[in-house]
Amino acid sequence: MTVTQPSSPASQPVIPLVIGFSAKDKPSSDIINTCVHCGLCLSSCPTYRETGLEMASPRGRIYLMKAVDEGRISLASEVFQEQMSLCLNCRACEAVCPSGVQYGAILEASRAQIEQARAGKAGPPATPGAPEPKLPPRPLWQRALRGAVFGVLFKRMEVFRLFSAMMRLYQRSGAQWLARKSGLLKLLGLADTEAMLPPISDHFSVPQGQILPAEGERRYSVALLTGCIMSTAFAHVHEATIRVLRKNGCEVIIPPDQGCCGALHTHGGDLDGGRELARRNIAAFEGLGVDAIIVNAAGCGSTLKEYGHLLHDDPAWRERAERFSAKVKDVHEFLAGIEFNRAALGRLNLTVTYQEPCHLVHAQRISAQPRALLTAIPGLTLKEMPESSLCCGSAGIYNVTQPEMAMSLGARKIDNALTTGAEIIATANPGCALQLAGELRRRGKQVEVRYIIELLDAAYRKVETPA
Amino acid sequence: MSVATPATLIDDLRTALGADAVVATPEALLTYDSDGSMLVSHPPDVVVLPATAEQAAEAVRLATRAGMPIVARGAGTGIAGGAVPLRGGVMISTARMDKTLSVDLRSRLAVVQPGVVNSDLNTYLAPRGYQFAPDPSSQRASTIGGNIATNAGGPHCLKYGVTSNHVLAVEVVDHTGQRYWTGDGVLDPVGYDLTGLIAGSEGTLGVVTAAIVRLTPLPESVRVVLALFPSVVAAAAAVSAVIAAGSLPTSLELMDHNAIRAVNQAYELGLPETTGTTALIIEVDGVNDGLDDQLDQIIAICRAHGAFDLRPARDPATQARVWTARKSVAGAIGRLAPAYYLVDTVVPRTKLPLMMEQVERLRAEYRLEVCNVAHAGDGNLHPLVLYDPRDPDQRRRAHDLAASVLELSIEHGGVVSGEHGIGLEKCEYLPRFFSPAELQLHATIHQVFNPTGCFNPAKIFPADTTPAELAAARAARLQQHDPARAAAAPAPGTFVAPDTPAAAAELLNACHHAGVAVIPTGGVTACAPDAVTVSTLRWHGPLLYEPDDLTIKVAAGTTLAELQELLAPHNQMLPLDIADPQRSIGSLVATATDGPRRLGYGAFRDWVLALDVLEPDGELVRLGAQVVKNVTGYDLVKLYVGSAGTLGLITAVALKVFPQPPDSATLLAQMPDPATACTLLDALAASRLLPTAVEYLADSNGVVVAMRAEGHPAAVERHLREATALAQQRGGTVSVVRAADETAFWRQTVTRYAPVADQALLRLSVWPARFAAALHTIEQTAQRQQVAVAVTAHALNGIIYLQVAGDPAHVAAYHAELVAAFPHTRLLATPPAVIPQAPVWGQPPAAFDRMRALKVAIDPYNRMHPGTLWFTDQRS
Repeated sequence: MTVTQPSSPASQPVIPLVIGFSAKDKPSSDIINTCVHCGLCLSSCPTYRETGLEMASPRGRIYLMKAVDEGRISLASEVFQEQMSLCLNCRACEAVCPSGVQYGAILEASRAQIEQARAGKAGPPATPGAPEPKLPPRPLWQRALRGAVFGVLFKRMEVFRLFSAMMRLYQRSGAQWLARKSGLLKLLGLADTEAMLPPISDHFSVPQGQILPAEGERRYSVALLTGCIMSTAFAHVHEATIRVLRKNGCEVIIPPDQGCCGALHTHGGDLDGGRELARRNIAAFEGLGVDAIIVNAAGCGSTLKEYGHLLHDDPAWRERAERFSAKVKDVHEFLAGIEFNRAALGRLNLTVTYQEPCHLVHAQRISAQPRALLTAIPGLTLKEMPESSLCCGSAGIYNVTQPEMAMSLGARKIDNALTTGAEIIATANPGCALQLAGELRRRGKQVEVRYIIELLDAAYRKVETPA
Repeated sequence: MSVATPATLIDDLRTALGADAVVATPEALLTYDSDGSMLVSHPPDVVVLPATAEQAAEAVRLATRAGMPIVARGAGTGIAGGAVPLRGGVMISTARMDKTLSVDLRSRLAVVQPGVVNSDLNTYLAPRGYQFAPDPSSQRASTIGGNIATNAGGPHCLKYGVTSNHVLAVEVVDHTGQRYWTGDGVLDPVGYDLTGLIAGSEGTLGVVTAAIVRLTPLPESVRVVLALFPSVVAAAAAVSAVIAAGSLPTSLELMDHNAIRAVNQAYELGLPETTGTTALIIEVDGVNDGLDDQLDQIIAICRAHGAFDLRPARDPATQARVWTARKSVAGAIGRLAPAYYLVDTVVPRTKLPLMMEQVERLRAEYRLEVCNVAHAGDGNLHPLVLYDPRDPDQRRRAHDLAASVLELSIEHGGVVSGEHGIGLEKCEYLPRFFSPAELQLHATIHQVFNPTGCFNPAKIFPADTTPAELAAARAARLQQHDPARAAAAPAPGTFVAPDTPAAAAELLNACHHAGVAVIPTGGVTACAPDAVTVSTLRWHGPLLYEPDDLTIKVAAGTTLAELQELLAPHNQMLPLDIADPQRSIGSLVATATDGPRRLGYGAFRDWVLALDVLEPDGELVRLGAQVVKNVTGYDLVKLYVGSAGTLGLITAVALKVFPQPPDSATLLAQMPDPATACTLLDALAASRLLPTAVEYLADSNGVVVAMRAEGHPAAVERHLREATALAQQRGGTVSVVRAADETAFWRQTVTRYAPVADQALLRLSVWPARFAAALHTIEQTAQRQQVAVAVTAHALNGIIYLQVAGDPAHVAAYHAELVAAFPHTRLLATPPAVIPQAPVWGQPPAAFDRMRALKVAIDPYNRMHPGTLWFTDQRS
């Protein structure tokens, strides 16, 4: 009878023969050991719900990380790499974990371990004497794509805007098959926007230090993160956000020199790339003296709130990052937390269902506030869908890296949404918006996808310009 | 040593189930090496994920052919190692068998696949007004199949009972890959309760591939209050006092300061964390009327026992948060320590304060932190012993502390496991709880269902022996035939009433050696010419009665009337109304007798906690324990309830008893005709009312629906008011009987369930949704056969009694026709002139072969009540 112990006694350090983690950005053993294997996370995990596989559950993935950490399986294990990739990083597990395991942190670190080892930049192993953490490099095209996307496109906003404009041209000139084929359209959030109404704005939101005064008495001064996709494909959402904030007595500042939040980098295992963007954004927003830094995209919001963690090992930036993160407020969180302007809301006779972005409900635990805003709109009926907080399968670049799982989760989400009979699916994140719109278009459904903030804006505008 | 994987098995599994449904990569298999427990792990050789029962059965067949162990796994949330494949083999994950196949709200049942997540089923049912009541703390991940395997409990089983009380039938795959159903979902079918036996058998008796579960109406109102006490012992004493006062809350949950610390912040409970502080979560539910009053009474008791703060959770969101926090304690231990060992023992409720004191003492003695949660109302304590597994000394101390708690518990009448199962973790304690004969009986049953030992090996039974060896030892014992002992056997045709159970044991032993059959009886009955009739009538009275525990153990010969007399001074009762209160408790249990209040209180199946039984050779075995929750070994008690004396002689019975309700009244609605009466039944079933009995009475005088309400006076009035309106809307004429009139009404009514001279008495059990259709068939057939029928029914349970009068040949034909139409038709009594043309026990059930196999294994020489329950009268 072979009985293995889940953990080896500390008194006898074992030098593993397999490839383990490197010391840099190692998934924390303390976090891993906080998991007591209760399994309460299972039913919240989209990939477990879809596959029924233990290794595709949060508990199973942590177990795999633990096995690599303890030298029982290799970093080179295909199962390990596949599962780190198949995870959506939706963090639904984190929200339900009784022990408070910081799953996102160890997942992102595990992905970083794989990418470092593949790029030959891993540094010394975490366990002295263990083999060098080195994995075969990714195929050339993947490296080129990752380099272009992580290294250039999302790091330099002027390139991003130029590229987005070109892609939009392609899209409108009928040569979109090329862009779609490359998967880049999806990545830029332009592939599915034609299903959206109103059509995407003709101009992009370019942060140039604009200061937009509050309507009426100034109650707050806030700064807005424009980000990447939100500033191009969803520039109209920024415009709506600004109008809503001003309507609520906010002076809105759009600081120059800000860029992408770095979510794609940190989720994709490029922690250093994420850190570079974090430092830039911290510098751009520092010293403005604002009451809050407002984000209207769930994924960006959770990333900004975790800059403190991301730069934890950087003594020069740690405190600045923590100060920055403390100021970040999701726009729904912010509005629901102030005496927001209900009086000026016009009537919208709509039946709406709400798809909860993972990085809002799970990563930021913001669930009641979006609903409070929606139900404040006179005439609007909120009909809850089943599994409203189960990931829609978008998850950043996930629908490029794991198209099958993304597709089946998207279908599941729309199935659930359609049971409500709602005419609008409200959400608060670009990835979700695109995923939902794409699936609806595939089915030829007339249901619209809107940001909550767009609906609020429409309600405010209804009073201003009676139809 | 792991069994070598025959190379072709994995290929065969892939062919049969699809490549996508087979996991064989070592790193992937590693994630299946443990469940929610953290002590021992071992990976399976292959994991399969069938989507259907057919696929699961095929996997079993292939595994058996390859000689591989078979371990079923739901969500792997168990914490006794039940789903750890210690010998490797084929793991059958039910994760993809997650469909609810059908729901019949009117019959209050649902057919589900085993992988349905408990919470998902409840999320589906809640908007429809129903629930699947078992609510283990793991419910948001754990599956119905896993709940059945461990006979899971949960905070709300204080009122609603454990999983086996909510499972009507299961579909099982045997070791050859053949599937069978243990029932069809009707209540209280005749024959051995295989459903009850499979529930809690931890995957050792087959693989469950579907289940018919019982649905319970959601209460109209729920009240929750958090009571804070200065010490664990004070809180435990308050729990005893609440139960003793006769109120039965939905739950009474205890959390000590460590448990509070684990969840306080994450779930925003805002409780003080000072050492000693103990929270009781108290919930009551039911109709809205009278509920506040009920809660106030409980609050007053808590205050009298030192509660320093009482915090009501008024809105559903706060209540949900409190419950999520409570159910997350074990999972939140990661915040306090890297590992824990969970003790899961149940003691008689009144022993809880003493046990909590002992846990406190042991905590200090072993220098370890203990986090206490307890289903206090059930006497189920769960000390979680915290330790660091990397420190061998701490590991040892944690184990020793847990062992000490269990030993103390057993000393005080407690059990090894209350709701989590024995699994791998608690095998070693079984010999301290069971005698060798009791272990052998368990093993004998194991061998009937799991003869090759393929199902979940190395579980439940102690590691130093095997079920096969234990069963062989029992078989050898029964094989002895000593002529010297045979001499003491009375001649066949004798009636004997031994003075004591010990004398009865001697008698059975003598009969065994002499090869004489024994017919157990509870009173004075006519003797069968070819057997010795052994009566329990000389053994009367209580053996162990601690009123505040709400349990009693009596000698089997105690009559129902005597039992009620014992209970009455303590304001307690057994909610069973029958025509002849002079019948013995032993015989009522053996025949699984029911009464009108089956609706509100359940049946013997739900009440019997423990039985003392003489085996066919007179060996005494004690089954179960006198505590309200117990999953130590198989639930053999269920097997003997309704076994009609075919497995052994019951000498003592331990029962749950109930507080006398503060008020009771019965509404009688005279309805214009059977059809409108049936619409009234539908309306009552769909209402939020919780009557304790709804009877349908029809004869030549017309049709009456009688509804009994018990409980708080305001709740009773509410029932009468609402039911009156429902009856009057349908043209009913209503009257209410109370007090002595009510007693007289029920005394008269129950005579309709009893044999009457010159009449046959039949009992049918149908799905409640088919009740109206069944009545129609019963009437039509009666007209055709020209017999007069009085119909009386536990209408919402689908249990129908018929008193039939007429020409004997017509009565016999009528019976035969009903047996053909309704498989569960039993002929309880008949005038001598009626020669039955169909089986008197009804149609043999689908699982009859398994029942016969059990009978043959337990009573291989057919000594006990031969010729009963479809079993042939042949003896060896």
